[in-house]
Amino acid sequence: MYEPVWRHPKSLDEAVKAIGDAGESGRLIAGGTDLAVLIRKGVSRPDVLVDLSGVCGHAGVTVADGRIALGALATHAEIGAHPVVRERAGLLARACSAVGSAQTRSRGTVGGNVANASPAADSVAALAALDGDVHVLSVRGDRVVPLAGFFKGPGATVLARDELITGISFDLPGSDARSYYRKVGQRNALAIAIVSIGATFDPETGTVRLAFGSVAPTVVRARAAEALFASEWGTSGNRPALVGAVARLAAEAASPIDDVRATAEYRMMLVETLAASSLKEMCLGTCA
Amino acid sequence: MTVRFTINGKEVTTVVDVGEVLLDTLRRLGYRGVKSGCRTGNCGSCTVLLDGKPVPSCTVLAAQADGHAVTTIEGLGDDHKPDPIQETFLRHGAEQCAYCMQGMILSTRALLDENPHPTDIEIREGISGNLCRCTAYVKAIEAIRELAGRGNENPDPWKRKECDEERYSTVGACVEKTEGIGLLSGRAKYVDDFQFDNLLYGRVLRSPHAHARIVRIDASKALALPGVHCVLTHDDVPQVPFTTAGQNYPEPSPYDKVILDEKVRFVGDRVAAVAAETPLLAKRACDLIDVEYEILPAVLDMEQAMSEGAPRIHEKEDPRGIADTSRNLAAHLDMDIGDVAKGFEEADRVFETEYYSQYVHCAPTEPHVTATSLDEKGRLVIVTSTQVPFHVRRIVAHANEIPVSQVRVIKPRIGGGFGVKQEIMLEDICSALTLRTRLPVKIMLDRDEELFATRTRHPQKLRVKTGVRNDGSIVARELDVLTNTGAYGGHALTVPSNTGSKTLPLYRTEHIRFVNHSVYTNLPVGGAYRGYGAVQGYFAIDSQMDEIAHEMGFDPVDFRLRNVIRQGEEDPVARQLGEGKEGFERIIRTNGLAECWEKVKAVCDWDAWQASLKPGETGRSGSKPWTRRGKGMSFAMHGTGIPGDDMGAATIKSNEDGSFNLLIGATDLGTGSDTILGQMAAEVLGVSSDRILVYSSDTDRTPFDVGAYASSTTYVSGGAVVKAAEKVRDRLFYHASKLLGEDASGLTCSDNRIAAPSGKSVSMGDVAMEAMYGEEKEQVAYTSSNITFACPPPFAAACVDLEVDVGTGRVEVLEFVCAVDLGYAINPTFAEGQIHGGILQGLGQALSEEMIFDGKGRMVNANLTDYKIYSAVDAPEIRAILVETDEPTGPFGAKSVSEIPVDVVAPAVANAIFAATGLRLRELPFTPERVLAGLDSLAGGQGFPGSN
Ligand SMILES: Cc1cc2nc3c(=O)[nH]c(=O)nc-3n(C[C@H](O)[C@H](O)[C@H](O)COP(=O)(O)OP(=O)(O)OC[C@H]3O[C@@H](n4cnc5c(N)ncnc54)[C@H](O)[C@@H]3O)c2cc1C
Ligand code: FES
Ligand code: FES
Repeated sequence: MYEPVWRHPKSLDEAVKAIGDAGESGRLIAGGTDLAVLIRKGVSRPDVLVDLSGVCGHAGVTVADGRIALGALATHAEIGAHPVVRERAGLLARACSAVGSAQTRSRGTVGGNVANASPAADSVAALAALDGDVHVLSVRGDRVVPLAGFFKGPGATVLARDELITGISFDLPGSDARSYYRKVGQRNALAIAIVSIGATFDPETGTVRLAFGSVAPTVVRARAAEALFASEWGTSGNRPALVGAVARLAAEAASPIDDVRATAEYRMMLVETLAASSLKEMCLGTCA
Repeated sequence: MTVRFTINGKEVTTVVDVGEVLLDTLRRLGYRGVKSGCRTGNCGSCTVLLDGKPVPSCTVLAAQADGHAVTTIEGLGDDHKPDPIQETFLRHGAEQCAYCMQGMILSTRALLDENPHPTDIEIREGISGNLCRCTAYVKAIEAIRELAGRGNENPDPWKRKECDEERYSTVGACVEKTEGIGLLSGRAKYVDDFQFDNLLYGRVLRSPHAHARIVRIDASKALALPGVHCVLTHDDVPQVPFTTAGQNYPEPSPYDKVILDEKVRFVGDRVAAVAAETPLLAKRACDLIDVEYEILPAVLDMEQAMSEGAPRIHEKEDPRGIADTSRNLAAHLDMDIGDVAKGFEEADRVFETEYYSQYVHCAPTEPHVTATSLDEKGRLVIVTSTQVPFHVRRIVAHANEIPVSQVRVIKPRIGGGFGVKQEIMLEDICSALTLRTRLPVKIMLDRDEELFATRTRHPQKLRVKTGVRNDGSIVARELDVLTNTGAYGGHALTVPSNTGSKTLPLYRTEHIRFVNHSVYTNLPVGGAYRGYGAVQGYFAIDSQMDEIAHEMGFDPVDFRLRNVIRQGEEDPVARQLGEGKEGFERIIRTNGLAECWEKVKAVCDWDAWQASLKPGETGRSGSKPWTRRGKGMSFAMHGTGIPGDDMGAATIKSNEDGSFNLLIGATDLGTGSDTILGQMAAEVLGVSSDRILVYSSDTDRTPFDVGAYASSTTYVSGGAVVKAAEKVRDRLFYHASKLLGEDASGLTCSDNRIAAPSGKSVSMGDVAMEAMYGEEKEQVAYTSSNITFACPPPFAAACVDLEVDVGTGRVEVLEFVCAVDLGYAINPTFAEGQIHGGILQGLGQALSEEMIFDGKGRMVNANLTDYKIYSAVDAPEIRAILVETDEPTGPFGAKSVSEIPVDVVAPAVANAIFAATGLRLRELPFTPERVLAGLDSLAGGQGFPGSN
């Protein structure tokens, strides 16, 4: 019979110690929306399970010092409903509201979504476009890992076995900043992204950030396209043409594969289309 | 570990395995309103409230609930004091099978607690995690709107809510389900809710190969596991061929299956079966069975199946009913009316196009589940989720070589069927396990097994050739179909037969030719699915009608109406093409199609839409610059029961208080047929519907019925109820005449009384008392059976309004309007529900659902994440209109309603996409990817205008 050890720490310190003590086959569990099903199926068999749900001070959304900080245990429902997130970082609110169904969102956490490292994770495409930082803690101390360097591949991150995510934070976007999030799936609810895009535009600096989900082994940023935009937006005499060129270049960041949800070819078409729509909506104010 | 939590306010302490999900803990503790449908967080049947928030309890470890508060449906109310949500849902008829409803009601509770006045979008979001396969969420949303303090802003355009009082008192009224609040409070018993002592859990070891011979099976390691009671292989079971298709005897499907075979013919085919003390043990035992396969070349393509040198899938010489084993031909059909060659010569224009309809699954929310046991007399008792209890009894007895008298089949509440439960999927093997172990055994399929190992809609390739005169009349039509029946041939003859017989008569045609080849492949097996061949046929025929109208410059509606079969005419196809047997005479006695279209047209503003189109432009721009909007329409006719074949019977017995037991073999799978049949009995007997105590489907206790398929229950079984009720009534008139001192011949009954023309009357209770305890002492009870030869077709017209996102290829359905001429609506609420649900299943088939296979024949999307069923946020507004034509052959004028709505969907959607963009799609489903590729090629690879 499978009978792992169940740890239910009440504080971060206890949690860190519990996962530190657990050794190789220890696993954190937050909402459990990813992990519980794997355990039930017997796909995942950790010897020690460290339940984070009792760890206080680890949840919620806080806004301070020009940053928005998401506790690792903040649920998608909480983030999606948070007024400041909705106002200043609309893409994240929309991304979180696009996760699964209301039932999944009230249980699934942002920490779990990030740690799970699916290239289709909705919150991640938004957080990548917000230049998020992942806050990591272990008995050895804490560290901050930029989201851009956090993922190694599908399901793989730079986290060590004994590390846990305490939260994710990012700069509070300015009041005139714009953002865009869209997920294309085959259904509105309970759909895994075929392609998703998270994008931000700061009119003050004339810069954009474009992040795509489900088009590469990890969520990717279209850095070259962003650079082209930054260098030409301020001076461009033909902004619609620039937007087109940036969108085309953005597509080069994608290296999609065929899977059960779509072909690589379709994904490539979508990347460019979505990049163009996001830029037009954010930067040109046109809905096309 | 020990967990402590409160369940419905009660402190509970229990020991759980750390790996156990809350769903299993709760069911173990007796909270059986928590249903299991997928165990992956997708369906929402297992939803509970955890600290007031709705969560799928299959995605929560019981350990995680330690210290928290859990609310299950049992905590929400009961039949004495139901929660307002339960009451309101029931009053609106929000439920059909109700398997999904326990969860949906809890989600609604949480939604309203947090937000007492949700908008429609918030309502849809709130229940988006509760997939319902029976309904289209329309009535649930109506109910929630009412709970949110809003009236129904968007009622179905069909108005009559009470019955036509001039004629009837109960029939035609929106009576609530007879099961009542129990159905919405977790008390109704589905198969998995039955309790047995010493129960074993059965599991089937399934083939990983598409085509292989079992060279050796060694179960010794599995049998050595403590708690494993039995492993069956093909050496242990009778090798008696049968068909899994639950059809009337002699079944028109080939006998090409045995309980366990030495050959496997698709990925998912049975290899062995295990019975063990826990589900997990049964699974481990399966993993420990050592099988050596000789892998055979597989046929994964229907065209390849009949080609020279293709591997033979069924080799046994001359099995009953296979058309030609040497060519993998399961069934063949060939029919001629007139001379099509001559017809094509006479035509001014000839059109020839080819269509493809994909593999889709019924996907009922409750997967197949069967429990078998031996009663005190040693008889086999099968409690099973089936549409066909009497066929189960006969087929299980035959396959296991035991007498029919030794088998009893009980059908409790069923969590949806739609055709896939017209099939013997578990009953034969579960019985074999019980017969061997002498212990109760239950098998419930996992969601993935349900999808890849049960039955599907037959994929078809359909070539339609039509000759048309310049005046718009159709001279000749040829329909040539290639049907993929998969590894076995259940329904391989009858499904394609319906592809022709249900569709070809709709538009009058002088010369008709219909050909079908049903081929075996090493892929999942075709079976019955709502629409039964007609869905594929209409996709082809009614798409092509639109194409012809467009090419020849006809108005698409006028062109159709001009050719539609008229009232009083004979259907020429029925005479030639019976369902797996002789043809029959079929006169169209009622046809409300024109009225259906009139009503649809008004609701969907068809004329205004047509007028708004700019000449030379296709479609109209949509709500966004990158969308195009279009409307499309379609027509269909269907059938009602299988003529000369379907038989239903009913027994009615009177009780001394004026109530009656109605015993029927007909199987309510959520459609509400128990209630409808009760209404009919009440009408004839002149009593209120609560006086009819309906008991359905127990082969020991109820009379025979073929079961729920072919849109037959209301019409065929209803006819039996009427006959039996009339006999009971007449006999009660005899007893009443003694009490009243009046002649029996002039008596009438209504309002629970029997009255004489003189005005004297007596209560039904007094009459029943007199019959039972008076001088003569008689149990008034009659059984009647009914068969039909008329098969009157319901007709339907539909219009869909949609937008195509030309950037992503996504199709967003805005509104679907469908009117059905169903003869007479015995229960309008339920009839509307059938239309809503049928349309949503049709939309799934048209746009999102497809079973996808890899190069080895393995289904790669056997889960509810990637096999996409519509949720509340995907479902559009669906508006149902009932048209009544009073069919003279039907009980109270009824025909049927349940299958025809699916028929109209795919062609209407295809026609609307064409109207929006000029893109004609002939391959289902119209996924964003296919749409975008089509748009791109239409634009010559230049990107469709507006796409970016
Ligand atoms: C029906 C359904 C639909 C879904 N739809 C979507 C969707 O549309 N989009 C989407 O993005 N996701 C979707 N998901 C996935 C899932 O809900 C999210 O990934 C969720 O955010 C995971 O959070 P959790 O708290 O439930 O994680 P858990 O299941 O508890 O954990 C997931 C993983 O993260 C690790 N982990 C959790 N917390 C921490 C932490 N603080 N530090 C380090 N590691 C941690 C765990 O060890 C585990 O490996 C869906 C899931 C279901 C069941
Ligand atoms: S059984 Fe839990 S969501 Fe389907
Ligand atoms: S009523 Fe929803 S699944 Fe049957």
